[in-house]
Amino acid sequence: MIAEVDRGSFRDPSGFVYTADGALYRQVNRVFAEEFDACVASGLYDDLAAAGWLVPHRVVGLERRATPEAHAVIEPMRIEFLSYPYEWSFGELQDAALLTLDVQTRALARGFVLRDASAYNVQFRDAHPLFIDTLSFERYREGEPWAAYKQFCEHFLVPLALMSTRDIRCGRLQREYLDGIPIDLGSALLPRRTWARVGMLLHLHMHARATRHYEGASVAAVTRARRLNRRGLLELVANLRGTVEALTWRPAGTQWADYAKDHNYSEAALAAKRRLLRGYLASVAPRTVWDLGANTGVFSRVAREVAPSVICFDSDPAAVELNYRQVRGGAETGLLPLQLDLMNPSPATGWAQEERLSLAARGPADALLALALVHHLAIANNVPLLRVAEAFARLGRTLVIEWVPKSDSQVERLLRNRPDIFPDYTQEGFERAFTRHYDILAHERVGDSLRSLYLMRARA
Amino acid sequence: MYIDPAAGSMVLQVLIAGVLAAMATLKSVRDSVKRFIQGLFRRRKDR
Repeated sequence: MIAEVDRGSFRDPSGFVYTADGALYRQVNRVFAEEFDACVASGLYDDLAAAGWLVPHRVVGLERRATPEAHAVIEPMRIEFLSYPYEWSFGELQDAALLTLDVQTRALARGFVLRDASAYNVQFRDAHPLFIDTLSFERYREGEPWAAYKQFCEHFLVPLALMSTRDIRCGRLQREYLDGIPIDLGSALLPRRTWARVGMLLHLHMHARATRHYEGASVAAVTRARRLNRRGLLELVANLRGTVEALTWRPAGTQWADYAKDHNYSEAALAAKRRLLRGYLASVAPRTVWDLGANTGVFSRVAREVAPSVICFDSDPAAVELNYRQVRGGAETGLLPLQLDLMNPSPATGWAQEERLSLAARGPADALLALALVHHLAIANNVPLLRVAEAFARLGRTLVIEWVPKSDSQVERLLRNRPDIFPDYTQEGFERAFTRHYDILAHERVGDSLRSLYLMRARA
Repeated sequence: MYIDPAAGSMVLQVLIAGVLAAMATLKSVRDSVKRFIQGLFRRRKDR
């Protein structure tokens, strides 16, 4: 058995994640044996897994260990698609924050506490956040403050507060600050009115000042006489929860939220597009579909009728938020709305650029959808069609792509205020570019519209 | 503990917990005063 250690799993010496023979494992190291065994014995894992809050796992034999330091080996349930906080919508980040606090409260009730509160400990599965770090728990010692309080604030509260009270685009700071947006930066960027809200005053503004005041001080020295009993800690967690819950964001006024992407389609053409898409996808029977430019996920749901897992990417935070609320409200399974700017997709980042995976490294998907998208890339963003084809061929094995001609009102709109420097943007030019990387399996005009839908397979 | 808890964050929690406990006490005092006054009026109405 050859174990391949997850390159993002190195910070915590208590254990690590690895794959071997196609299966995913987590090794618990001997240094963490006592804490792990206590947690198992307490019933906390079973309790959290039964509630659907913690990724379920089974204990496997030590013969599957990756290194001699192993105390135990567990096999957690696999998550279909790993997503990162900087790809989540406001609501997704908020739900992940609430889950983290609920897990902390439940752990405290059984005499345990979260050792960390990283947003990367949460993943999404079937419309729900799921805590994935089984080794995040240690025994609670009465009187001790919560070591992960600052991490929680920087990973969750700062970005949520900025997105809610300053600008939704502040969420993108998370991609720069992988270990959370620094609390002093958060405090400096927040509007003045946030000083009048108790939660943000205490957990962000005063927190920023306290960390600066005690910078470099010894925790033991400054907290020596001060104790935080369990009741106080529960009050703190409850107050954090209230603060997180009180933050809101209304998705409106951004690019796509109140704009039906296909408003130039007639009802008949829209029905034809759905029918064509379903037929094309059914013929290739994909397991995973990535819908690029999914908007609020109208066609992602058509894809979901065929495929068990559909990731709905869009660059507009409002569209992603509306999509997530719909997924959440309808308890829809197999759909994950994420924020992604195709002109600047999630890179490989973190230590040695291996900690967090690029979008491409999480693929390729079985099928890629690019509906009403090609004109945004080729015309609004000047990407040559050949480069579009080349990039798509790396992301998905098959492709359903919609050709949007220059005569389409949406393309006319894009060209309204600029010279037409796109002589190759023709249906022939499109086919010429894409057949360099793809074989066209089928194509058809979409109902009575000017657009066409293509089914293509990437050449190996 | 493998993350830096930050001394300021640790001290602040104790202070916040104190503030929250004081707020909770104030609220419960306020609620019981309110109940007491409401009780007085109710009794008067009953007469």
